[in-house]
Amino acid sequence: MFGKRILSECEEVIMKAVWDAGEDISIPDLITVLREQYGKDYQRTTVVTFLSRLAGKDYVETFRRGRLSYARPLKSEEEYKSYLAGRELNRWFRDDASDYVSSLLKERGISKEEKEKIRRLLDELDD
Amino acid sequence: MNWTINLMGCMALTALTGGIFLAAWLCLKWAAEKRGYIEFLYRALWPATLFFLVPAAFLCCLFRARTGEYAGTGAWPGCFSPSIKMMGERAAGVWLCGAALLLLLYGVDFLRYRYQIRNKIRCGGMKYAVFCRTLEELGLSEGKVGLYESYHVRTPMVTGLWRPKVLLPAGEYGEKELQVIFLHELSHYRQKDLWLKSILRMAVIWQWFNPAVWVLRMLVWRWSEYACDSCVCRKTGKAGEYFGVILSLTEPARGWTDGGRSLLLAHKHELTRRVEKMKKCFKKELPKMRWVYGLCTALLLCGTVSVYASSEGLLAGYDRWYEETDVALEEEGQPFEEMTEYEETGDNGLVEEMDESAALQPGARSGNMEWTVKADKRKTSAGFSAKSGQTIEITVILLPTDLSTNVGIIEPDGTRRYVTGKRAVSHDFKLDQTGTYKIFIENKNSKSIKATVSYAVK
Repeated sequence: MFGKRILSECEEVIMKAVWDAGEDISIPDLITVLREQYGKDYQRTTVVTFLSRLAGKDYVETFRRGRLSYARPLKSEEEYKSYLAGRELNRWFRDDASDYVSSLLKERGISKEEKEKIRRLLDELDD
Repeated sequence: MNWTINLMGCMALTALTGGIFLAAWLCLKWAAEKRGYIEFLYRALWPATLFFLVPAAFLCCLFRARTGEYAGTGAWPGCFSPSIKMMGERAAGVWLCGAALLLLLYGVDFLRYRYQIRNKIRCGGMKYAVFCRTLEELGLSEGKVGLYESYHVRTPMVTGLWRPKVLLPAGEYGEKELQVIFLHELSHYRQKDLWLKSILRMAVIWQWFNPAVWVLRMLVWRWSEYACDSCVCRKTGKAGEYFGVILSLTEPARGWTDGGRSLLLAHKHELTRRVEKMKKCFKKELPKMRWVYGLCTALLLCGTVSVYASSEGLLAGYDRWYEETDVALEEEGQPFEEMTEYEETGDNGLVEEMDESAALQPGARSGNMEWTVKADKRKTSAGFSAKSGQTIEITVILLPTDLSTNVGIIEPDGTRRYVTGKRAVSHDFKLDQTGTYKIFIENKNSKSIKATVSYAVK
Protein backbone atom coordinates (compact mmCIF):
# COMPACT_ATOMS: atom_id res chain seq x y z
CA MET A 1 0.00 0.00 0.00
CA PHE A 2 2.71 2.42 0.91
CA GLY A 3 5.65 0.74 -0.74
CA LYS A 4 8.78 2.75 -0.29
CA ARG A 5 6.89 6.01 0.13
CA ILE A 6 8.15 7.50 3.32
CA LEU A 7 7.49 11.21 3.47
CA SER A 8 10.12 13.88 3.82
CA GLU A 9 9.84 16.51 6.57
CA CYS A 10 8.10 19.07 4.35
CA GLU A 11 5.73 16.49 2.93
CA GLU A 12 4.80 15.36 6.43
CA VAL A 13 3.97 18.95 7.46
CA ILE A 14 1.71 19.38 4.47
CA MET A 15 0.00 16.04 5.01
CA LYS A 16 -0.50 16.90 8.67
CA ALA A 17 -2.22 20.11 7.69
CA VAL A 18 -4.40 18.22 5.19
CA TRP A 19 -5.30 15.57 7.76
CA ASP A 20 -6.01 18.14 10.49
CA ALA A 21 -8.38 19.97 8.16
CA GLY A 22 -10.65 16.92 8.33
CA GLU A 23 -12.13 17.64 4.93
CA ASP A 24 -11.07 18.85 1.50
CA ILE A 25 -8.89 21.92 1.89
CA SER A 26 -8.23 24.60 -0.68
CA ILE A 27 -4.72 25.62 -1.59
CA PRO A 28 -5.02 29.19 -0.20
CA ASP A 29 -6.39 27.82 3.08
CA LEU A 30 -3.61 25.27 3.18
CA ILE A 31 -1.00 27.99 2.72
CA THR A 32 -2.56 30.02 5.54
CA VAL A 33 -2.68 27.07 7.90
CA LEU A 34 0.93 26.15 7.13
CA ARG A 35 2.05 29.69 7.88
CA GLU A 36 -0.02 30.35 10.97
CA GLN A 37 -0.02 26.97 12.65
CA TYR A 38 3.17 25.31 11.51
CA GLY A 39 5.42 28.29 10.90
CA LYS A 40 6.06 27.32 7.28
CA ASP A 41 5.81 30.32 4.99
CA TYR A 42 5.64 28.51 1.65
CA GLN A 43 4.88 30.14 -1.68
CA ARG A 44 1.94 28.80 -3.64
CA THR A 45 4.23 27.18 -6.20
CA THR A 46 6.07 25.34 -3.42
CA VAL A 47 2.86 23.98 -1.96
CA VAL A 48 1.61 22.94 -5.38
CA THR A 49 4.90 21.17 -6.08
CA PHE A 50 4.74 19.26 -2.82
CA LEU A 51 1.11 18.35 -3.43
CA SER A 52 1.94 16.96 -6.83
CA ARG A 53 4.71 14.86 -5.27
CA LEU A 54 2.29 13.64 -2.64
CA ALA A 55 -0.22 12.83 -5.36
CA GLY A 56 2.49 10.83 -7.12
CA LYS A 57 2.95 8.87 -3.89
CA ASP A 58 -0.86 8.35 -3.67
CA TYR A 59 -1.26 10.29 -0.44
CA VAL A 60 -3.54 13.00 -1.81
CA GLU A 61 -5.54 13.81 -4.87
CA THR A 62 -5.99 17.35 -6.09
CA PHE A 63 -8.99 18.68 -8.01
CA ARG A 64 -10.59 21.94 -8.99
CA ARG A 65 -13.88 23.15 -7.60
CA GLY A 66 -14.95 26.47 -9.00
CA ARG A 67 -12.00 28.85 -9.08
CA LEU A 68 -9.96 27.05 -6.42
CA SER A 69 -7.87 23.91 -6.31
CA TYR A 70 -8.41 21.49 -3.43
CA ALA A 71 -6.50 18.64 -1.81
CA ARG A 72 -8.13 15.51 -0.41
CA PRO A 73 -6.24 12.83 1.52
CA LEU A 74 -6.28 9.34 0.03
CA LYS A 75 -4.73 7.71 3.08
CA SER A 76 -5.58 8.41 6.69
CA GLU A 77 -3.20 9.58 9.36
CA GLU A 78 -3.74 6.36 11.32
CA GLU A 79 -2.80 4.28 8.30
CA TYR A 80 0.42 6.26 7.93
CA LYS A 81 1.25 5.87 11.63
CA SER A 82 0.60 2.13 11.49
CA TYR A 83 2.79 1.86 8.44
CA LEU A 84 5.65 3.67 10.21
CA ALA A 85 5.23 1.53 13.31
CA GLY A 86 5.51 -1.62 11.23
CA ARG A 87 8.61 -0.68 9.27
CA GLU A 88 11.56 -2.72 10.50
CA LEU A 89 14.02 -0.01 9.55
CA ASN A 90 12.13 2.51 11.59
CA ARG A 91 12.09 0.18 14.57
CA TRP A 92 15.84 -0.30 14.36
CA PHE A 93 16.47 3.40 14.28
CA ARG A 94 13.94 4.26 16.91
CA ASP A 95 15.16 4.23 20.45
CA ASP A 96 13.17 6.24 22.93
CA ALA A 97 15.51 5.04 25.68
CA SER A 98 18.48 6.71 24.04
CA ASP A 99 20.95 8.65 26.17
CA TYR A 100 20.20 11.73 24.14
CA VAL A 101 16.58 12.09 25.21
CA SER A 102 14.56 12.12 28.42
CA SER A 103 11.25 10.47 27.61
CA LEU A 104 8.02 10.14 29.52
CA LEU A 105 8.21 6.36 29.52
CA LYS A 106 10.99 4.06 28.39
CA GLU A 107 9.20 0.79 28.93
CA ARG A 108 8.09 -0.62 25.60
CA GLY A 109 5.32 -2.95 26.62
CA ILE A 110 3.15 -3.11 29.74
CA SER A 111 1.27 -6.34 30.21
CA LYS A 112 -2.37 -6.50 31.34
CA GLU A 113 -1.37 -7.94 34.70
CA GLU A 114 1.05 -5.12 35.30
CA LYS A 115 -1.54 -2.53 34.33
CA GLU A 116 -3.92 -4.05 36.86
CA LYS A 117 -1.20 -3.92 39.50
CA ILE A 118 -0.52 -0.27 38.71
CA ARG A 119 -4.23 0.58 38.88
CA ARG A 120 -4.44 -1.03 42.33
CA LEU A 121 -1.41 1.01 43.46
CA LEU A 122 -2.98 4.18 42.10
CA ASP A 123 -6.14 3.53 44.07
CA GLU A 124 -4.02 3.36 47.23
CA LEU A 125 -2.16 6.58 46.47
CA ASP A 126 -3.30 9.31 48.79
CA ASP A 127 -4.72 12.00 46.58
CA MET B 1 56.33 5.08 29.34
CA ASN B 2 55.43 6.86 32.56
CA TRP B 3 52.32 8.47 31.08
CA THR B 4 50.57 5.09 30.97
CA ILE B 5 51.25 4.51 34.66
CA ASN B 6 50.08 8.02 35.49
CA LEU B 7 46.93 7.41 33.43
CA MET B 8 46.19 4.14 35.25
CA GLY B 9 46.91 5.75 38.60
CA CYS B 10 44.66 8.67 37.73
CA MET B 11 41.82 6.31 36.75
CA ALA B 12 42.25 4.16 39.84
CA LEU B 13 42.12 7.20 42.12
CA THR B 14 39.09 8.62 40.31
CA ALA B 15 37.36 5.25 40.57
CA LEU B 16 38.13 5.20 44.29
CA THR B 17 36.84 8.69 45.06
CA GLY B 18 33.80 8.19 42.83
CA GLY B 19 33.05 4.89 44.52
CA ILE B 20 33.35 6.47 47.98
CA PHE B 21 30.98 9.27 46.99
CA LEU B 22 28.51 6.80 45.51
CA ALA B 23 28.62 4.74 48.71
CA ALA B 24 27.97 7.95 50.68
CA TRP B 25 25.00 8.70 48.41
CA LEU B 26 23.58 5.24 49.02
CA CYS B 27 23.85 5.78 52.79
CA LEU B 28 22.21 9.17 52.38
CA LYS B 29 19.44 7.60 50.30
CA TRP B 30 18.71 5.12 53.05
CA ALA B 31 18.27 8.00 55.52
CA ALA B 32 16.63 10.61 53.30
CA GLU B 33 14.33 8.70 50.96
CA LYS B 34 11.49 8.14 53.37
CA ARG B 35 11.56 11.76 54.48
CA GLY B 36 10.67 12.74 50.93
CA TYR B 37 14.02 14.15 49.76
CA ILE B 38 13.55 12.68 46.30
CA GLU B 39 14.53 15.76 44.31
CA PHE B 40 17.44 16.54 46.62
CA LEU B 41 18.75 12.96 46.32
CA TYR B 42 18.60 13.26 42.55
CA ARG B 43 20.54 16.53 42.62
CA ALA B 44 23.12 14.85 44.87
CA LEU B 45 23.88 12.50 41.97
CA TRP B 46 25.49 15.44 40.16
CA PRO B 47 28.58 15.60 42.40
CA ALA B 48 28.71 11.79 42.42
CA THR B 49 28.90 11.85 38.62
CA LEU B 50 31.51 14.59 38.64
CA PHE B 51 33.68 12.66 41.09
CA PHE B 52 33.74 9.78 38.62
CA LEU B 53 34.89 12.10 35.86
CA VAL B 54 37.16 14.73 37.40
CA PRO B 55 40.45 13.26 38.70
CA ALA B 56 40.37 15.42 41.83
CA ALA B 57 42.46 13.05 43.96
CA PHE B 58 45.12 12.67 41.26
CA LEU B 59 45.38 16.43 40.78
CA CYS B 60 45.63 16.78 44.55
CA CYS B 61 48.52 14.25 44.48
CA LEU B 62 50.36 16.19 41.79
CA PHE B 63 49.86 19.47 43.61
CA ARG B 64 51.08 18.10 46.93
CA ALA B 65 54.04 16.33 45.30
CA ARG B 66 55.22 19.67 43.99
CA THR B 67 54.34 22.01 46.81
CA GLY B 68 53.63 20.11 50.01
CA GLU B 69 55.61 17.87 52.31
CA TYR B 70 56.42 15.51 49.47
CA ALA B 71 57.96 18.24 47.32
CA GLY B 72 61.54 17.72 46.21
CA THR B 73 61.71 14.08 47.27
CA GLY B 74 61.44 12.94 43.67
CA ALA B 75 59.06 10.29 44.89
CA TRP B 76 56.08 11.24 42.70
CA PRO B 77 55.40 10.85 39.86
CA GLY B 78 58.62 9.02 39.97
CA CYS B 79 60.29 5.88 38.89
CA PHE B 80 58.89 2.44 38.37
CA SER B 81 60.39 -0.91 37.65
CA PRO B 82 60.29 -2.18 34.05
CA SER B 83 57.66 -4.79 34.95
CA ILE B 84 55.31 -2.13 36.36
CA LYS B 85 55.89 0.02 33.27
CA MET B 86 54.98 -2.92 31.06
CA MET B 87 51.84 -3.62 33.09
CA GLY B 88 50.88 0.04 32.78
CA GLU B 89 51.27 -0.04 29.01
CA ARG B 90 49.16 -3.18 28.65
CA ALA B 91 46.45 -1.86 30.97
CA ALA B 92 46.37 1.41 29.00
CA GLY B 93 45.95 -0.59 25.79
CA VAL B 94 43.01 -2.54 27.19
CA TRP B 95 41.40 0.64 28.49
CA LEU B 96 41.78 2.34 25.10
CA CYS B 97 40.05 -0.57 23.37
CA GLY B 98 37.12 -0.46 25.78
CA ALA B 99 36.79 3.31 25.54
CA ALA B 100 36.93 3.22 21.73
CA LEU B 101 34.19 0.57 21.62
CA LEU B 102 31.96 2.62 23.90
CA LEU B 103 32.57 5.74 21.83
CA LEU B 104 31.51 3.79 18.77
CA LEU B 105 28.33 2.55 20.47
CA TYR B 106 27.45 6.06 21.60
CA GLY B 107 28.10 7.29 18.09
CA VAL B 108 25.66 4.73 16.69
CA ASP B 109 23.14 5.73 19.36
CA PHE B 110 23.54 9.36 18.31
CA LEU B 111 22.93 8.53 14.64
CA ARG B 112 19.83 6.55 15.57
CA TYR B 113 18.55 9.44 17.65
CA ARG B 114 19.18 11.95 14.84
CA TYR B 115 17.39 9.70 12.38
CA GLN B 116 14.46 9.40 14.75
CA ILE B 117 13.94 13.12 15.21
CA ARG B 118 14.74 14.09 11.64
CA ASN B 119 11.13 14.97 10.77
CA LYS B 120 9.31 17.20 13.21
CA ILE B 121 6.34 19.49 12.86
CA ARG B 122 5.92 22.63 14.90
CA CYS B 123 2.87 22.49 17.15
CA GLY B 124 0.23 25.16 17.24
CA GLY B 125 -3.29 25.62 18.48
CA MET B 126 -4.39 24.08 21.76
CA LYS B 127 -1.19 22.12 22.24
CA TYR B 128 0.92 25.26 22.11
CA ALA B 129 -1.47 27.16 24.38
CA VAL B 130 -1.25 24.48 27.10
CA PHE B 131 2.50 24.38 26.60
CA CYS B 132 2.85 28.12 27.19
CA ARG B 133 0.68 27.91 30.30
CA THR B 134 2.88 25.14 31.66
CA LEU B 135 6.04 27.12 30.90
CA GLU B 136 4.65 30.02 32.89
CA GLU B 137 3.63 27.72 35.75
CA LEU B 138 7.18 26.40 36.00
CA GLY B 139 8.74 29.85 35.75
CA LEU B 140 10.29 29.25 32.32
CA SER B 141 10.22 31.84 29.58
CA GLU B 142 8.55 31.20 26.25
CA GLY B 143 11.03 30.56 23.49
CA LYS B 144 13.56 28.68 25.62
CA VAL B 145 12.02 25.34 24.74
CA GLY B 146 10.38 24.47 21.41
CA LEU B 147 7.34 22.24 20.94
CA TYR B 148 7.09 19.80 18.04
CA GLU B 149 5.27 16.67 17.10
CA SER B 150 6.50 13.82 15.00
CA TYR B 151 5.27 10.62 13.38
CA HIS B 152 8.58 8.97 14.25
CA VAL B 153 8.59 9.14 18.04
CA ARG B 154 6.53 6.79 20.16
CA THR B 155 6.59 8.59 23.49
CA PRO B 156 6.84 12.26 24.50
CA MET B 157 10.38 13.32 25.12
CA VAL B 158 12.59 16.32 25.70
CA THR B 159 15.80 16.48 23.73
CA GLY B 160 18.51 18.86 22.57
CA LEU B 161 21.27 20.30 24.74
CA TRP B 162 21.66 23.61 22.94
CA ARG B 163 18.19 23.94 21.41
CA PRO B 164 15.94 22.01 23.74
CA LYS B 165 12.60 20.90 22.44
CA VAL B 166 9.70 18.77 23.57
CA LEU B 167 8.64 16.18 21.01
CA LEU B 168 5.19 14.63 21.03
CA PRO B 169 4.01 11.65 19.04
CA ALA B 170 1.69 13.10 16.38
CA GLY B 171 -1.94 12.71 17.39
CA GLU B 172 -4.83 14.12 19.40
CA TYR B 173 -4.57 14.83 23.12
CA GLY B 174 -6.87 16.04 25.83
CA GLU B 175 -5.94 19.15 27.81
CA LYS B 176 -5.29 17.15 30.99
CA GLU B 177 -3.03 14.74 29.10
CA LEU B 178 -1.06 17.61 27.60
CA GLN B 179 -0.66 19.24 31.01
CA VAL B 180 0.75 16.04 32.52
CA ILE B 181 3.07 15.48 29.58
CA PHE B 182 4.41 19.03 29.53
CA LEU B 183 4.84 19.20 33.31
CA HIS B 184 6.86 16.00 33.18
CA GLU B 185 9.03 16.88 30.18
CA LEU B 186 9.67 20.45 31.28
CA SER B 187 10.65 19.14 34.71
CA HIS B 188 13.30 17.07 32.94
CA TYR B 189 14.46 20.25 31.23
CA ARG B 190 14.50 22.22 34.50
CA GLN B 191 16.51 19.49 36.23
CA LYS B 192 19.01 19.65 33.34
CA ASP B 193 18.78 15.89 32.92
CA LEU B 194 20.26 15.93 29.43
CA TRP B 195 23.34 17.74 30.71
CA LEU B 196 23.77 15.23 33.50
CA LYS B 197 23.38 12.35 31.05
CA SER B 198 26.04 13.92 28.81
CA ILE B 199 28.48 14.20 31.71
CA LEU B 200 27.59 10.68 32.78
CA ARG B 201 28.29 9.43 29.26
CA MET B 202 31.83 10.82 29.51
CA ALA B 203 32.27 9.28 32.94
CA VAL B 204 31.16 5.88 31.60
CA ILE B 205 33.67 6.06 28.73
CA TRP B 206 36.41 7.14 31.15
CA GLN B 207 35.58 4.52 33.81
CA TRP B 208 33.98 1.74 31.78
CA PHE B 209 35.88 -0.95 33.71
CA ASN B 210 34.39 0.23 37.00
CA PRO B 211 31.08 -1.48 37.93
CA ALA B 212 30.23 1.45 40.22
CA VAL B 213 29.87 3.80 37.24
CA TRP B 214 27.30 1.48 35.65
CA VAL B 215 25.42 1.41 38.96
CA LEU B 216 25.53 5.21 38.93
CA ARG B 217 24.17 5.25 35.37
CA MET B 218 21.23 3.10 36.38
CA LEU B 219 20.60 5.33 39.42
CA VAL B 220 20.68 8.51 37.33
CA TRP B 221 18.20 7.08 34.81
CA ARG B 222 15.80 5.97 37.53
CA TRP B 223 16.10 8.91 39.88
CA SER B 224 15.67 11.48 37.11
CA GLU B 225 12.19 9.98 36.61
CA TYR B 226 11.47 9.81 40.33
CA ALA B 227 12.46 13.47 40.74
CA CYS B 228 10.25 14.47 37.79
CA ASP B 229 7.33 12.50 39.13
CA SER B 230 7.80 14.04 42.57
CA CYS B 231 7.93 17.55 41.10
CA VAL B 232 4.77 17.03 39.03
CA CYS B 233 2.86 15.36 41.85
CA ARG B 234 3.73 18.25 44.14
CA LYS B 235 2.58 20.79 41.53
CA THR B 236 -0.69 19.04 40.75
CA GLY B 237 -1.24 17.56 44.21
CA LYS B 238 -2.71 14.48 42.56
CA ALA B 239 -0.25 11.64 42.16
CA GLY B 240 -2.93 9.08 41.30
CA GLU B 241 -4.32 11.23 38.53
CA TYR B 242 -0.87 11.92 37.13
CA PHE B 243 0.10 8.26 36.85
CA GLY B 244 -3.39 7.42 35.65
CA VAL B 245 -2.87 9.73 32.67
CA ILE B 246 0.52 8.14 31.91
CA LEU B 247 -1.03 4.69 32.10
CA SER B 248 -3.86 5.66 29.77
CA LEU B 249 -1.32 6.97 27.27
CA THR B 250 0.19 3.49 27.04
CA GLU B 251 -3.01 1.92 25.73
CA PRO B 252 -2.39 0.14 22.41
CA ALA B 253 -4.89 2.40 20.67
CA ARG B 254 -2.51 5.32 21.20
CA GLY B 255 0.15 3.42 19.26
CA TRP B 256 2.89 4.50 21.62
CA THR B 257 4.38 1.19 22.62
CA ASP B 258 4.96 -2.16 20.98
CA GLY B 259 2.31 -3.83 23.13
CA GLY B 260 4.01 -6.43 25.27
CA ARG B 261 7.42 -6.37 23.70
CA SER B 262 9.90 -5.13 26.24
CA LEU B 263 13.23 -4.78 24.51
CA LEU B 264 15.12 -3.18 27.34
CA LEU B 265 15.34 -5.24 30.52
CA ALA B 266 16.73 -2.22 32.36
CA HIS B 267 13.35 -0.49 31.89
CA LYS B 268 11.12 -3.45 32.55
CA HIS B 269 8.42 -2.66 35.12
CA GLU B 270 9.57 0.96 34.99
CA LEU B 271 6.12 2.46 35.57
CA THR B 272 5.32 0.07 38.43
CA ARG B 273 8.59 1.03 40.09
CA ARG B 274 7.86 4.72 39.75
CA VAL B 275 4.37 4.38 41.21
CA GLU B 276 5.70 2.33 44.12
CA LYS B 277 8.42 4.90 44.77
CA MET B 278 5.89 7.74 44.91
CA LYS B 279 3.65 5.69 47.17
CA LYS B 280 6.56 5.10 49.55
CA CYS B 281 8.33 8.43 49.47
CA PHE B 282 6.13 11.21 48.18
CA LYS B 283 5.45 14.00 50.63
CA LYS B 284 3.21 16.88 49.72
CA GLU B 285 5.22 19.31 51.80
CA LEU B 286 8.82 20.22 50.96
CA PRO B 287 11.34 19.03 53.55
CA LYS B 288 12.75 21.51 56.08
CA MET B 289 15.72 23.48 54.80
CA ARG B 290 17.94 22.75 57.80
CA TRP B 291 17.85 19.07 56.86
CA VAL B 292 18.83 19.96 53.31
CA TYR B 293 21.75 22.12 54.48
CA GLY B 294 22.86 19.37 56.84
CA LEU B 295 22.78 16.76 54.09
CA CYS B 296 24.64 19.06 51.69
CA THR B 297 27.34 19.65 54.26
CA ALA B 298 27.66 15.93 54.92
CA LEU B 299 28.05 15.21 51.22
CA LEU B 300 30.58 17.99 50.75
CA LEU B 301 32.63 16.77 53.70
CA CYS B 302 32.52 13.24 52.38
CA GLY B 303 33.79 14.35 48.98
CA THR B 304 36.57 16.51 50.34
CA VAL B 305 37.74 13.95 52.86
CA SER B 306 37.77 11.15 50.30
CA VAL B 307 39.84 13.25 47.86
CA TYR B 308 42.34 14.31 50.50
CA ALA B 309 42.54 10.88 52.13
CA SER B 310 43.12 9.02 48.89
CA SER B 311 45.82 11.47 47.77
CA GLU B 312 47.51 11.31 51.20
CA GLY B 313 47.30 7.53 51.22
CA LEU B 314 48.79 7.23 47.76
CA LEU B 315 51.66 9.67 48.36
CA ALA B 316 52.58 8.19 51.74
CA GLY B 317 52.33 4.65 50.45
CA TYR B 318 54.41 5.37 47.37
CA ASP B 319 57.03 7.19 49.43
CA ARG B 320 57.41 4.19 51.75
CA TRP B 321 57.51 1.71 48.86
CA TYR B 322 60.11 3.82 47.08
CA GLU B 323 62.39 3.89 50.18
CA GLU B 324 62.09 0.20 50.93
CA THR B 325 62.42 -1.24 47.46
CA ASP B 326 65.73 -1.93 45.80
CA VAL B 327 64.95 -1.11 42.23
CA ALA B 328 67.55 -0.87 39.53
CA LEU B 329 66.90 2.56 38.13
CA GLU B 330 67.72 3.55 34.64
CA GLU B 331 66.81 7.09 33.71
CA GLU B 332 65.59 6.92 30.13
CA GLY B 333 67.58 9.03 27.82
CA GLN B 334 69.56 10.68 30.56
CA PRO B 335 73.17 11.00 29.37
CA PHE B 336 75.95 9.69 31.61
CA GLU B 337 78.44 12.22 32.84
CA GLU B 338 81.83 12.31 31.22
CA MET B 339 84.22 10.49 33.63
CA THR B 340 87.87 10.93 34.36
CA GLU B 341 89.92 7.88 33.45
CA TYR B 342 92.67 6.70 35.76
CA GLU B 343 95.54 4.27 35.24
CA GLU B 344 97.17 2.02 37.78
CA THR B 345 99.70 -0.73 37.74
CA GLY B 346 100.92 -3.18 40.35
CA ASP B 347 99.23 -4.41 43.49
CA ASN B 348 96.93 -1.95 45.28
CA GLY B 349 96.16 -4.25 48.22
CA LEU B 350 92.80 -5.53 47.01
CA VAL B 351 92.20 -9.26 46.82
CA GLU B 352 91.34 -10.31 43.31
CA GLU B 353 88.70 -12.89 42.53
CA MET B 354 87.87 -14.13 39.10
CA ASP B 355 84.36 -14.59 37.78
CA GLU B 356 84.40 -18.06 36.29
CA SER B 357 80.62 -18.45 36.24
CA ALA B 358 80.23 -16.96 32.80
CA ALA B 359 83.21 -17.92 30.66
CA LEU B 360 83.60 -15.40 27.91
CA GLN B 361 84.26 -16.71 24.43
CA PRO B 362 87.49 -15.45 22.90
CA GLY B 363 85.59 -13.94 20.02
CA ALA B 364 82.74 -12.50 22.10
CA ARG B 365 81.83 -8.96 21.11
CA SER B 366 79.54 -8.27 24.06
CA GLY B 367 78.35 -9.74 27.31
CA ASN B 368 76.35 -9.27 30.52
CA MET B 369 77.24 -10.27 34.07
CA GLU B 370 75.61 -10.05 37.49
CA TRP B 371 78.28 -9.72 40.14
CA THR B 372 78.44 -9.43 43.89
CA VAL B 373 81.70 -7.80 44.86
CA LYS B 374 82.61 -8.12 48.53
CA ALA B 375 84.25 -5.40 50.58
CA ASP B 376 87.90 -4.69 49.71
CA LYS B 377 87.83 -7.04 46.75
CA ARG B 378 88.38 -6.75 43.02
CA LYS B 379 86.26 -8.93 40.79
CA THR B 380 87.63 -9.70 37.35
CA SER B 381 86.04 -11.26 34.31
CA ALA B 382 87.54 -13.96 32.14
CA GLY B 383 89.72 -12.68 29.29
CA PHE B 384 88.44 -11.75 25.85
CA SER B 385 90.20 -10.57 22.70
CA ALA B 386 90.27 -7.05 21.41
CA LYS B 387 92.42 -5.12 18.97
CA SER B 388 94.17 -1.82 19.02
CA GLY B 389 91.92 0.96 17.72
CA GLN B 390 88.76 -0.69 19.06
CA THR B 391 86.70 0.54 21.98
CA ILE B 392 85.33 -1.35 24.96
CA GLU B 393 82.04 0.20 26.11
CA ILE B 394 81.13 -0.68 29.68
CA THR B 395 77.89 0.14 31.53
CA VAL B 396 77.49 -0.88 35.16
CA ILE B 397 74.47 -0.42 37.46
CA LEU B 398 75.48 -0.49 41.14
CA LEU B 399 73.59 -1.16 44.33
CA PRO B 400 73.56 0.34 46.89
CA THR B 401 73.51 3.56 44.97
CA ASP B 402 75.61 5.60 47.37
CA LEU B 403 78.85 3.58 47.34
CA SER B 404 81.70 4.76 45.15
CA THR B 405 83.21 1.98 43.00
CA ASN B 406 86.03 1.63 40.43
CA VAL B 407 85.01 0.13 37.09
CA GLY B 408 87.50 -0.56 34.33
CA ILE B 409 89.54 -2.85 32.13
CA ILE B 410 92.82 -4.73 32.56
CA GLU B 411 95.01 -4.35 29.47
CA PRO B 412 97.16 -7.15 28.04
CA ASP B 413 100.21 -5.73 29.85
CA GLY B 414 98.42 -5.74 33.22
CA THR B 415 97.70 -2.02 33.40
CA ARG B 416 94.40 -1.23 35.06
CA ARG B 417 92.40 1.62 33.52
CA TYR B 418 89.29 2.64 35.39
CA VAL B 419 86.71 5.27 36.16
CA THR B 420 85.10 5.93 39.55
CA GLY B 421 81.37 6.41 40.05
CA LYS B 422 78.19 5.62 42.00
CA ARG B 423 74.83 4.18 41.06
CA ALA B 424 75.32 4.03 37.27
CA VAL B 425 78.70 4.11 35.52
CA SER B 426 79.32 4.15 31.79
CA HIS B 427 82.56 4.72 29.91
CA ASP B 428 84.22 3.96 26.58
CA PHE B 429 87.80 2.74 26.87
CA LYS B 430 89.76 3.36 23.68
CA LEU B 431 92.29 0.59 23.09
CA ASP B 432 95.87 1.03 21.92
CA GLN B 433 96.97 -2.61 22.30
CA THR B 434 95.93 -5.88 20.71
CA GLY B 435 95.55 -8.81 23.07
CA THR B 436 93.45 -10.25 25.88
CA TYR B 437 91.49 -7.83 28.03
CA LYS B 438 89.50 -8.27 31.20
CA ILE B 439 86.81 -6.23 32.91
CA PHE B 440 87.08 -5.52 36.61
CA ILE B 441 85.22 -3.87 39.47
CA GLU B 442 86.98 -2.75 42.66
CA ASN B 443 85.00 -2.35 45.87
CA LYS B 444 86.97 -0.33 48.42
CA ASN B 445 83.96 0.08 50.69
CA SER B 446 83.10 -1.76 53.86
CA LYS B 447 79.93 -3.30 52.37
CA SER B 448 79.31 -5.66 49.46
CA ILE B 449 77.97 -4.23 46.27
CA LYS B 450 75.84 -5.75 43.51
CA ALA B 451 76.73 -4.87 39.96
CA THR B 452 74.93 -5.46 36.68
CA VAL B 453 77.64 -5.26 34.06
CA SER B 454 77.25 -5.04 30.33
CA TYR B 455 80.06 -4.53 27.87
CA ALA B 456 80.59 -4.40 24.13
CA VAL B 457 83.68 -4.32 21.94
CA LYS B 458 83.38 -2.00 18.98
